[in-house]
Amino acid sequence: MNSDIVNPKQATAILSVFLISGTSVTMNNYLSKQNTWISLIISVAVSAVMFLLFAKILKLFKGKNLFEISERCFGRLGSKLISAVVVIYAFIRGIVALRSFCEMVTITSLDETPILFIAVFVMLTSAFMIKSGLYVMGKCSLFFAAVIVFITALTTLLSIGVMQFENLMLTGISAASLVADSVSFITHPFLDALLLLCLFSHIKNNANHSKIFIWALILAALVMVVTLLRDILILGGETFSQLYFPSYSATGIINIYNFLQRISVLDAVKTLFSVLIEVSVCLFCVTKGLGFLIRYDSYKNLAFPVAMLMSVLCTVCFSSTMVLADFTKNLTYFALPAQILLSLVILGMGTLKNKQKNS
Amino acid sequence: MALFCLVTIIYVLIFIFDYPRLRSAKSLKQAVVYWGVLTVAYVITFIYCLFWSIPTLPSF
Repeated sequence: MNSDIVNPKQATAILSVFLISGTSVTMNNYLSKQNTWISLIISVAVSAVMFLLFAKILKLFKGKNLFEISERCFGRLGSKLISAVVVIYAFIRGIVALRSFCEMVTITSLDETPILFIAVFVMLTSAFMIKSGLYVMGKCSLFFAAVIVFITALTTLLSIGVMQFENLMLTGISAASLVADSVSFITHPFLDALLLLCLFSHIKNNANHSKIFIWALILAALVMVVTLLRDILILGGETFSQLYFPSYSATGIINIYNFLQRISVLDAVKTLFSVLIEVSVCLFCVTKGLGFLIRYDSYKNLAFPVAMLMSVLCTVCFSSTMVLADFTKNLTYFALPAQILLSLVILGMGTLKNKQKNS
Repeated sequence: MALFCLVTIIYVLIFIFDYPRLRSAKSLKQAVVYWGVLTVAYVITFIYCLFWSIPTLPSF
């Protein structure tokens, strides 16, 4: 059996867990406060269109990954340039996700533990996943997706007692803040799904890509909206928008007759699983892209060195949590135009090339 | 120091794990890229551990 082939179910799980990771550790102060869930729904609607566009690209170039697609569309030099941009972006996104997770661990519990120590072990797991083949990532994602859905449902049900429904009142809605938050959601995590075009060439040939993208989006959106609503109802819009890890704080409040309490550890498990998949996808893109750039036969050989480089750079690149939060915010301004432009240009060129081929 | 030792052990394990595949690498370029990335990561780790163990020095 080929260990690099994933079935549509596993691909859906990989994409949905990857998307859920975007709201697990946000490092983002939501401007629309208690109305953030509206921004999320707007961004889901916009992303659905972009996801159909990604599916169309994959349909045009069956069995090809993002790097091979860009080579077909832009020639050798153009593809090298685009691949370099994608590799750098995946590398930065991986570093940011990893550092955000490490910050969460050090801030909430292991405050004396060096960040490098946590980062190295997360990256080693990721690298091992890449080395073992995509099939392993697919299988893990299926399990992780089930656990994440279970944890979200359980913590939401248990938190009903501490929810204050007046927190959800639609007051102070500002169009500017809604748009700002929607753009932030669209950039990360939704349009980061562009990175998965490197991975989706490994899906079984008869797969329906539109179905995979839309089901993954629906599953991820459900989990994200429920999580956001739960956090807002428990914490209130003001507190929710000021915390770096609102989910962790919200689940920490849950207390069932002093018998069941401090179940924020469940949220930490959810975060760990989702970040592990996000970092693995980024690592896969970087290794695959590097392999493409230097014509490396077996990209998997690069998994461990790149993983170590990512873990070290995530430690040294950001001097504090605030620097990381600022960097994450600023990354949106560069990422969004690149994501939209790249997908549109690839689709346009792909359609043009196909027409030329047919005529 | 303990952190540096631990990370060094991990690098050695990675080398042992990857060595058989690296021996069968088809071109020098592939080996150079592998070793280049690994060496850069190790050097940064070394410098980080050096500074991390002396809190009074400015951090990165």
